[in-house]
Amino acid sequence: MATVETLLLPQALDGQTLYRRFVEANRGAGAIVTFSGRVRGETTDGAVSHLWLDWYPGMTEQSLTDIAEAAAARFDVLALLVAHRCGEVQAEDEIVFVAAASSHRRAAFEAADYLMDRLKSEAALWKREIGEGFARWVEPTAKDADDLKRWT
Amino acid sequence: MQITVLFFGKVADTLGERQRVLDFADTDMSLFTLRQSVLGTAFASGALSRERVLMSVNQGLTQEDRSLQAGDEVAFFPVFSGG
Repeated sequence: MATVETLLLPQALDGQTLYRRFVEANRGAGAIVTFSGRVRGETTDGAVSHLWLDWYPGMTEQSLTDIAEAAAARFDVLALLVAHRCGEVQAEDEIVFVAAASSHRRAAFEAADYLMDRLKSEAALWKREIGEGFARWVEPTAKDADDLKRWT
Repeated sequence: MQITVLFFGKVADTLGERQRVLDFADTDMSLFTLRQSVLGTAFASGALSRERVLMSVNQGLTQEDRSLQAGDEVAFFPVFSGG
């Protein structure tokens, strides 16, 4: 069974540190794929200064664990790491970091892709974009729903 | 019976509160009834859409026909948006 770690972080997320730690813990892996998601500085409404990611203590952590464990059961991976921010996240900062280790590349690519598609629509988080003169709650798009369907 | 109700995201914003503790004389109540009593006004005014509000009991996603018990923790929140 693969090693699964999930982190919900109210403070800064440092993907580089997480990556180094993940590599160290998975020295035998032939492939490591990572994804770093960052807060876009611009939207159609204008310049974004920061996001507020609301969360439900307990339920949010459980949703990250459920998604990561489903990925571990589905793909031939050695280890998975999911780290997600909550609270206030500044523009251009990392909001999510995932890493997948496997013996060969395909499973690692697919696991990272799957993790991100599910996190977008199924992680118990609520995103609000705040910029100069606007603030809006973000809801998953039709594209996000299509992305999720790729795995059903 | 006492029920703790939590609100998150746009639902919390719309109601202007994150938590409410309610005491009901009726001990036989469904989530549907509770949702109507807490969010009925927001649905009627269009401030919230019934289809876009999810609900959980004791941190597990559930449907409106779920019956409630004293001490349950209920939450109402919009569809998720992470990543």
